Amino acid sequence: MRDDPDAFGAFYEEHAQQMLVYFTRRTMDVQIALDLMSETFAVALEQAPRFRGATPEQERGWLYAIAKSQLAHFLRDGDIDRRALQRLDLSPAHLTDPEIERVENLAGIAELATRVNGALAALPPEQRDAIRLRVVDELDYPAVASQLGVSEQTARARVSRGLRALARDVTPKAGAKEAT
Amino acid sequence: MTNDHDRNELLPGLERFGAELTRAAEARAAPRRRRRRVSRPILAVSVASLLVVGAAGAAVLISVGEPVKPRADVPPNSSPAAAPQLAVTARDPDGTLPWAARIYSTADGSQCIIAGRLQAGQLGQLTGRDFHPLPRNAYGACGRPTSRRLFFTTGRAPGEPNRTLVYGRAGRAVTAMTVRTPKGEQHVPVGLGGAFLLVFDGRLNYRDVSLHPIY
Repeated sequence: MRDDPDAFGAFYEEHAQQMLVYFTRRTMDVQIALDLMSETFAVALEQAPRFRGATPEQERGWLYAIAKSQLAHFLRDGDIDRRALQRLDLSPAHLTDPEIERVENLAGIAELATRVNGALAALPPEQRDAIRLRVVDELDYPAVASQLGVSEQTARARVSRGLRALARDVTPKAGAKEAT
Repeated sequence: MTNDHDRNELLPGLERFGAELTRAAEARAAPRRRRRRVSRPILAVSVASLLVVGAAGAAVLISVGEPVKPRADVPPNSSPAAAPQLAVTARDPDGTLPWAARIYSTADGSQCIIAGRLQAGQLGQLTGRDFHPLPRNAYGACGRPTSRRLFFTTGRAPGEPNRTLVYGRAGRAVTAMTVRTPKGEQHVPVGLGGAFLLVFDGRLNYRDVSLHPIY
């Protein structure tokens, strides 16, 4: 794959759709997932000459390490890194509406949204309010604390605990199949 | 590396990006081999007055035949919710009847585009020297381009296997695009409603075409 464009093309074909589903399930937004997937493969293309793995498992692990890094950047900073795409003069992938619906179905977005709503409703009210202010309204922690009438440290703790509980309730149970 | 057993068929949109990615990989693997030329002018999109183009089309000896029959199997939410508008035109490589694309929106808010030959302000299909107008509710390619995105499709008009049409719509922030094909590279402005249309001599498929928006 290091110097073989066709092999890289086959590598992309093998993983692209699963990766799009992976990002869609974690962002709940196919457009964002498309941008993250595109940048992931652009980074992989740039880094391929330095990749020393030989097996399909190593290739997959390497690719998903890049994907996790892209996702972490997005979740931390709220924006999508597109530098590799720009360096390669590539535009992110784009899909038609029926294709987007197909990805949403593959990712089980409707079912996931139901589970998230259910898990959110099951949280203690103070955690649910903290998450709504921080995640939905995108307020910073001082503003969340001010709205809730608590210290910033308490606001952070409520958001953190609530998100952990949500993750626990929404994460597929053992045996459920999902791309990683 | 490939496990065909587990592989799903790729969505066309992902295939298009894969083709671009592979081209980028080829460019990195052999930069000298991949030197690109700016193309000879293949066909530029024209957003010139449709009246002028209509008049030029009328000068060609084309008779008007039966309208194209409306299709019975129209997908849901694909028909125009309001009157379609002619948005862009393009010359034919042989200088015969020009091409055009008209745009419309559907009831569910999708932005659509349909392309064909242009005769006296009407869009249609050409069979020999007969022009067959398309019905008003003929449906084309639809998408929902956000401000900085676009969608496009490639295809051939019925009975015209030696012409490839590349057409689509871009979001509001897109002012033009760079279009790359094996035939070369060209700068293409967008027309009304973000519409664009290119007509190529010969056969291309979507893997051969990459579009790069310019904002």
